[in-house]
Amino acid sequence: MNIKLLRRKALYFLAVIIAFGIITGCASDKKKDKDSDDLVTIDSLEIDEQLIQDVKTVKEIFYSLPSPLETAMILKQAGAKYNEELLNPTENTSRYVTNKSMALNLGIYTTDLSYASLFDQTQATINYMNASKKMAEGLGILNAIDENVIERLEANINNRDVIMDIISETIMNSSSFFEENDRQAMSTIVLVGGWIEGLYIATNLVGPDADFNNNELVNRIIDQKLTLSTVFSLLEENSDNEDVQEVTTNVNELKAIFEKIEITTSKIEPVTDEETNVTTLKSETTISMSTATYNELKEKVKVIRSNYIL
Amino acid sequence: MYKTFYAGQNYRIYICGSDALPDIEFQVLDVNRNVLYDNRKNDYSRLWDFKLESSQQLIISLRVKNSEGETDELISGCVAIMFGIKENKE
Repeated sequence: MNIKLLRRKALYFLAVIIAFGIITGCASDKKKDKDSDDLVTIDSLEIDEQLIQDVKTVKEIFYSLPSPLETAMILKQAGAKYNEELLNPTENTSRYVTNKSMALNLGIYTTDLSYASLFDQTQATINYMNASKKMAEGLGILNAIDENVIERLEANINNRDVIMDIISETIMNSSSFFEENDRQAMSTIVLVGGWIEGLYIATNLVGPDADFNNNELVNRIIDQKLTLSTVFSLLEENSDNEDVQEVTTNVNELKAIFEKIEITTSKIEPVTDEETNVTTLKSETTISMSTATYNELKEKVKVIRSNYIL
Repeated sequence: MYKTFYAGQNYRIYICGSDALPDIEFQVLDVNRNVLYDNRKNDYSRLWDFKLESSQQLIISLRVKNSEGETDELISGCVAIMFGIKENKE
């Protein structure tokens, strides 16, 4: 009886660790009131103390890549224009039959979906939601994308806030599904697919004669050097997966080019406006990039992306 | 959590935690671990609005405060970090 109770209690705590993000120890004046439970309580306390020590020492590190919606917002706010010819045609969905190609193109299509929706391209938004849905279904993400999502999009096609909510919900649900089903490798491949698509759109929207000085779009492309370490950290966490290994090879090719770009940043000084309560992180950055390096980066992104969309 | 934030954007970070949890300590640091924001100096505020003059990779560090005294009970709950970008007016 006591052993059963002990096991149940230990299992409960294990379940708590898996199910919840945070566990913390707190003081309590709880009294033990039943003699028959003494043995269990003492043993459980030993487990608790060990668990508390573990909780105190565990530090978990997360790496966050921009979601497709964030990528599209950053592009738009950097002055990007809409060009549907740059997107992966929705007719291509039948080409993707492997988990890797479906995951990459789920990232690519959700980035295209976000880009189209931010520029109020209603028909393209519906088409890219359909394409994303096909990729999600192929990957077995049941319930990640609402069965009625297309109807909801059509019913709210002139309400951008609702459309953003639907897209955001779709991306978050897909990501959560992978995490909860121990398929983090697929989640990482989806994110890398979306990241490459963002780079592809951005590099193709910068004109051949563009002035690189004070060009916001070029600056956002260069900023991806900062994100590169996050991409690698995510890939390394899933390095035992064969598909991830292939994607890592591509990202390494990009890294070699990004390393030719020099970014120097001064110390950051936070200054808070007392009236608005907004803090400005003041710092100065110097960037050095040759036209040849930019062209090399653009070409490499194009080749990788061509391999992804098949 | 490591995340890249871009120059010229107006960001809001919001920390959301279960009611059962004690105060959540929330810090933002640069890659050299210099503290740029610490909510303990702002009454454990769960939101922070900021913008950057140049793009940076920042670290968002969360810690759930331990209560003082003997520890013999575990409290568990979810914590979420939300990021918002303010859309520029056209």
